[in-house]
Amino acid sequence: MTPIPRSDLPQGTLDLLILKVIALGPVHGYAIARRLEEVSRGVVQVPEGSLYPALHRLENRGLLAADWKETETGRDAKFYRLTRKGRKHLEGEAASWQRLIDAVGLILAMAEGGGG
Amino acid sequence: MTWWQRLWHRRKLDEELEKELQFHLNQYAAELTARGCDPQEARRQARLALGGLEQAKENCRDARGTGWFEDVAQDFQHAVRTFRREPRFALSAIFAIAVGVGATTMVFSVIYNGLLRPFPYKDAARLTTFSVHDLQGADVQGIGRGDRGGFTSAELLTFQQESRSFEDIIGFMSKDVSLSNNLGTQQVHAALVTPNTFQSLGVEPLLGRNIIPEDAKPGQPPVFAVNYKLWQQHFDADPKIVGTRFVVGGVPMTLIAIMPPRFQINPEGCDIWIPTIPNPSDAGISTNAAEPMHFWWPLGHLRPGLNPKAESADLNLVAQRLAKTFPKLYPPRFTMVTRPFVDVVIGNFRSMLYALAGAVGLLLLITCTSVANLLLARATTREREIAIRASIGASRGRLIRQLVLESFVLGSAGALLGCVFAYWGLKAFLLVLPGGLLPAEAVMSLNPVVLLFALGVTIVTASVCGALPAIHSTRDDLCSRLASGSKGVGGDVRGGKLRAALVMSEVALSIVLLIGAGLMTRTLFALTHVNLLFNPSHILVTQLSFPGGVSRTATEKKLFFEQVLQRVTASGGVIAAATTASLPPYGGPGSDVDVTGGSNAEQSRVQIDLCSAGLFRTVGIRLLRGRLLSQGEIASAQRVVVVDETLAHSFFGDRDPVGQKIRFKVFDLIPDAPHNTYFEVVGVVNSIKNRGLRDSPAPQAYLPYTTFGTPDGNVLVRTSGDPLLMAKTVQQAIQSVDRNVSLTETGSLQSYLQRFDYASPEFGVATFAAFAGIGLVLASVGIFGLLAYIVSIQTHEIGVRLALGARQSSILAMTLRKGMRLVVAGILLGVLGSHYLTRFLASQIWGVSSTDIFTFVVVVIVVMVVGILACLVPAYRAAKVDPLVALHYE
Repeated sequence: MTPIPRSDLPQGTLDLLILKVIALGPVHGYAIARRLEEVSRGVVQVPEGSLYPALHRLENRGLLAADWKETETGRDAKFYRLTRKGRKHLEGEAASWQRLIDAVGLILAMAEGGGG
Repeated sequence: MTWWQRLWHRRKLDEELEKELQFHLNQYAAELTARGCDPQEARRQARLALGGLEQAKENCRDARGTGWFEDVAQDFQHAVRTFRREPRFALSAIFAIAVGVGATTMVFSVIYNGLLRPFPYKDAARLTTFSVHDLQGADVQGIGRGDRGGFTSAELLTFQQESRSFEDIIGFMSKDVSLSNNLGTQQVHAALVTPNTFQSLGVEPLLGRNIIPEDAKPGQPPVFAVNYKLWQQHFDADPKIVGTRFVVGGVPMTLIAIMPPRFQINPEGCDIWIPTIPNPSDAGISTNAAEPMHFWWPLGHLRPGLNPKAESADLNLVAQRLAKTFPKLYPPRFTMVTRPFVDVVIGNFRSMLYALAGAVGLLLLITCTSVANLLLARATTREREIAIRASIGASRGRLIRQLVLESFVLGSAGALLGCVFAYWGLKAFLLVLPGGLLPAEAVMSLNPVVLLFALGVTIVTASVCGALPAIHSTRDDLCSRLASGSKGVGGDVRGGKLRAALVMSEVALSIVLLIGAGLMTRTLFALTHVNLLFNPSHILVTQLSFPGGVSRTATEKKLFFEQVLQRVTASGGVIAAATTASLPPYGGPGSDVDVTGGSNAEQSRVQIDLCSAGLFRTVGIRLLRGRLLSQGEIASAQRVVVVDETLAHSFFGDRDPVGQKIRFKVFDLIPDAPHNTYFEVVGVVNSIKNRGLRDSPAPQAYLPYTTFGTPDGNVLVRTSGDPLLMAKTVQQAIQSVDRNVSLTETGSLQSYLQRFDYASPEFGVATFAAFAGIGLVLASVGIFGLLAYIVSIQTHEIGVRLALGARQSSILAMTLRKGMRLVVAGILLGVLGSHYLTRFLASQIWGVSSTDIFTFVVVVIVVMVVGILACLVPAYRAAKVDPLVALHYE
């Protein structure tokens, strides 16, 4: 199996990804890390060291809320969930991200086909 | 959670963070172990993936956004700890800041409360008064009060109706009346005020109801309001007095309001206010001889956004119409001028306050400089600490922040102490402040605005003091500083140049303050040594006030004063006594004149005095030609006049004025004065100062006091002993003739001079000297400190010199020279600065040039001497260095 080349996260997208993962339902930090890795099939490298500061920052901004709950294995963990403000933010950011991707894709396509 | 909640709960948050991260590590490690990894290796990998547990925690804490605060709190604790280790340094810095902040706050309080916000009235900043400015009168060197600020009822009503530049105009008029109820009668100063006054000024009474315009309507029961002080002193602050009936000046009236303490209006002060509708048929010149003239003083709110030009244009329009209706009341050429109400009271004292603000600004600069100097000195001894902190990773910003924070800690302590200083300083200030210079409504206090100002000054002071040394001591690279850990030998002392510059500025600033104080002292000396052209000592002055409503015709006056003067003169210890309408050296009323046999020069205005025969002897005025007024002429009110040599010279030149005639135009305006009458000149006397100490004598005419009836008069008594001892005798003599006459302002002529002329410069001397003294002390401490530091650093070098055979005296001289070089440079700078700065004092100094050589020389000598003394101790210490000890020292 050839190793898949890993990409660094573009600036500011970590927050967006975290919000998206949490939008699926309350989840703790470790699960977020694993989920991000799985979903991106290992393409996106999430530095775990920056995951928690990002979570805390989002919580302080009121986009996330957190509760201490027991996991299936019976351990106490901090579960994050989206607040209403967080959901709105996610929708807005996702939409603008989509626009950006479309635009970039368009430009790239144009550059390729536009030789003549 | 808001950031301060996060700050408050940071312990709990830390625990949760620990738990959360541990959970993460456990899960990760468990997963790795499940995949077959060694448990220990699994934990290590989990930690590695997280980038280190502590690092992750730190990053999460940063995300809280409270880190800076925790850092500052840490720096704060550190600062307090270091200051407690060096109490001498900390205390001197705190004290210096306290002096600077305290003095500045005190002066600001006076300016804010006395000049900027003195009145408790609605929109007080727009309160403005106006007057008729005589354009010709002004050309005559301001003799005889060319401006008229009072208006007749008809004029006031016209201005109220027709002036467009004012939102409202109120008028007030002083009147002495008797106030009686069932408990007794007393004489009080009343102010008649137009009925709109209370609403216009927007002041609610302390007790009772506000006076409204309807209260003065005809048919309404007459009402009045009482001053807080009178209520306290004469009615024992009894609230039940409101609503009771009094007889005021013969009219039954109901007291309906007690006004709050700060309500005044009348700058001369008054006890009661009576709402009165101006009577338009009142020509302002009454047929009642007791009050030949009564004028309303106008005061109004200017419409916002007008300029003085527009205001006076509008008022001129009204006044020109009035001048046609009342031609006698207006000079041929005039213009209307407006003045802020506060200027009516403060006048020339405003510039004194500004001078004071300048002085205290300089003092603040000195204290800033000396605190910066102290901090710099400390920074030099702390170099290693700073270098070590930098080498273990403290950023320059962090270091500067810490040093600036230290000065803020000092600043806060200094500010607190400074407020205490300001509180007591304000009390002392009010003690030396002569009365009547600030509005009676003003209350000097440390109110929120003033405290906010103090806070601002402290922040500026602390930043200025702290930033300079902080930037300086974190300036260059680490290595050189760690390497040069041992104190410099011989070469340039680190921070020495900057400190020298600071000390030099301290000396220079002190020089400016000292020269200011010196010029004030010279002014005071010049004023107290003015030749009045008569001898003011041993003269008792009293002003007589006749009970209101009792009319005094010329005949009645004559009967009264003849007896009074006879009895006073008969008392032992009295050399002479007289009644006058004016008070030398301040003069009296003025009048335009016509003369026969002389040239009616442009200068047609003279000062007149209505006096008895004894005046010349009482004041000490000598006869030069002709004769004085005789008892007989005065008793029969002959149309004769004695003139002074200034009048003789300006109207008659070299010709003999005796036998010529003078007509005083002002008499035409006064009902029972002789109209269109010429007075024959019978004698010429020497001139005396008659318009204050500062100006040369104006033409003066002395007429019999029996020429017409005036309400009041002064009595002057020349005594052989202390005039004040005679006050009682004179009072008894006067009241034995008429019990109802009251004496006011009784005092020696010297005390009048003190109050009117010496008090203000004395105040200037006291405040400037205090500021300059503090400045000089701070500067000399600066010199001493710097030189002592230089000597301590050069101990080794001095030791070498002494070991090589240098004499102690040459070491002493060398060190002295080092210190004095700074002092002399500071002096030069200061003298140069003073040369430019003292011109701002010009309005406060008199009789001396603002660049007076004598003052400059004395100040330079004083500072030289103080400088030498400050250098002497460290220099002596340097000379006493033991070479053996010094060489072993390092």
